[in-house]
Amino acid sequence: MIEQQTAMTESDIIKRCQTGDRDAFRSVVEKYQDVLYGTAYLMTGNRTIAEDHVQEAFLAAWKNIGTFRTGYPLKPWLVRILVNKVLSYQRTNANIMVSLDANLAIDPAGDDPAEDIAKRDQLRRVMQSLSNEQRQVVLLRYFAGLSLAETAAALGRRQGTVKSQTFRALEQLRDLIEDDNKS
Amino acid sequence: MKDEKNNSDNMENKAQKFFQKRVSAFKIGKDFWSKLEPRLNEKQNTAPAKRKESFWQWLAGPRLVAISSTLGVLVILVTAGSLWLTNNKVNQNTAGSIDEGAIAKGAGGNYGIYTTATAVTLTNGMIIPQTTLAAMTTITSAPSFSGGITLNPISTTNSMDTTGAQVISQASVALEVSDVATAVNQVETLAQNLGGSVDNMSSSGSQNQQQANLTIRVPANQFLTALNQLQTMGTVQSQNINTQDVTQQYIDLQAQLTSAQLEEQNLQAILAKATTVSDEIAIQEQLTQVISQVESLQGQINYMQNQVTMSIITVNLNTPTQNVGQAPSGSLTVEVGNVDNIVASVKQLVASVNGIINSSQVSFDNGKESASLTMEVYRDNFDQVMTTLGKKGKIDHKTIQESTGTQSTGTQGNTPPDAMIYLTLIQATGFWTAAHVTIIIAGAVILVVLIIIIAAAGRAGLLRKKKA
Repeated sequence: MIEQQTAMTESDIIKRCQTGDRDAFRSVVEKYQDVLYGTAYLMTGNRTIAEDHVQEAFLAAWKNIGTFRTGYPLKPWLVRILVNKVLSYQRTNANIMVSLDANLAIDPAGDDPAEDIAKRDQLRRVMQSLSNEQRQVVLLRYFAGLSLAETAAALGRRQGTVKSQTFRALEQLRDLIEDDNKS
Repeated sequence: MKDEKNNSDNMENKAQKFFQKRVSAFKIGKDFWSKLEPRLNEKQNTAPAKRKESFWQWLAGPRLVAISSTLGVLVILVTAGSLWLTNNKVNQNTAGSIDEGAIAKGAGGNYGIYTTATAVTLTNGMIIPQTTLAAMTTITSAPSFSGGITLNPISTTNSMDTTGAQVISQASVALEVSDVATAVNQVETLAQNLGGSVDNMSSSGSQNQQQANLTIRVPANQFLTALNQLQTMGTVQSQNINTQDVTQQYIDLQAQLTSAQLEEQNLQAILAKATTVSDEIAIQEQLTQVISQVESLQGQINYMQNQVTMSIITVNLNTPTQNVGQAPSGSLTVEVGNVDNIVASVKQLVASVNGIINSSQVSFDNGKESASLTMEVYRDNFDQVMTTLGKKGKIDHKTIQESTGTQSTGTQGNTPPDAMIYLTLIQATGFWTAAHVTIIIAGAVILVVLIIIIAAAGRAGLLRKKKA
């Protein structure tokens, strides 16, 4: 019942956005900005670039919200826009791409709580241990919380491929995740 | 299996928890909205975005079908065109082959055979060399042959250059006549009227069936006239014309004769000057040899000239078998792929029905093979054999003279197989030569490859559309 209400609310918000209601869009931005940012950050390893991507993604979403079919969940659509932005950026800037590893040192921690910094570092390390494809899959599936089909659609891969990549990634992260669950 | 799945689900849940716990650690700058909001002034898209179609997306769907079928039709047209061209070329290269229609009446009432070929193949497979055609220049009436062939006289103005051509013409005709004795007289009169003679005559037979064989000689220029007149005497059962060009042999003999005569003259001169008896004897011996050589050569030349000037016609006369009526007969011209194979199978077929192959002639001209067979089968098997023969290839021409007999003799009776079949096999104009087959296969392969490429491309385009 609650879920239905939420869905209805999101549908209403989208309808309002489609009429050009900025307040409604603000609520959308605030709801999803952090998860998008985290995704972009873990994909790029750079806070500034990640923030730029999120901004571009929201701009594109605002511009094209009229084409969004209400009744569908908004998050996968937003994540898909973001992933497209990041991937196309990575493709065009492949020669100046810096690795997640390299960014660790230069990424400023800002004034975040020490615990958050530790969590981010841990996740970044976890991500480093995966291949590019596995990282994208794991991020979208577990960090952004997309379904298998949504992840496959966002990355332009077959569901079977995503499934096997997820499986292999989880095998690799098994010990880490088990330890974390125990603690 | 179930455990594995549970394990995997469990692991997924744990991973979910692991990551979700850390989502909160990622927080975008607090001023994010204030940075974003001023950029929202760009106009919103209210209508669903029209994506720019890629080439493949444009191609996919009905266009793909249209383009691939157009290409297919083009490939087929090109293949058919090349086939037609090759086929046409083959036709131009083939031997001069005429049927009765090709012997046409020329201007001024003259008749001529319009061909530049070195030989003419008649529809019944008979081959007449150019030299023989030339020898027919003085024919005044239109002779006609059995099997629906008519040779019209060739006007002297249309005659070919035949200076010195030496051709021996021979023919054999089998005629069915009502009365053999009368017919023999007629043949003798014919030979004499045409300035010829009867060389040989023999007759035999019972009361039911009589027969006679005559060998007559007629001047070469009366050869076809004689054949024509012979045909009017009865029903032609079979006819065979054979010509032999001996020009080269004739020239050789003449040269040898001249040389021998020269030698004779020289020896005569030397003999006259001889002083000693031994010389005289030696020269005389040589002279004797040379003289006998001259005589021998002269004899050969005379014989050849005689053969050339006088054509031999063998006439076989017989009465129809009583009470059995006239046997059915048929002539069939079939275009086949491999003449040799078909000839062999025809022989087998005839043997299997206890028939007789009377003659079988295979000729090869300008790369095209043809065969002419005459055979006799039992009347009961006639229809079956004709049908089977017709199935050997593409029928060009078929004539059937139905039996007039009321009584079926079958294979049981004493009557020999007498249903005559004239079969002409012509090598098909090479429609399915190796080159054609190659072209067709190549065309088909190209077509299939094109369809596969376009279909694959189209599928990719469709997928993209779907994905988009």
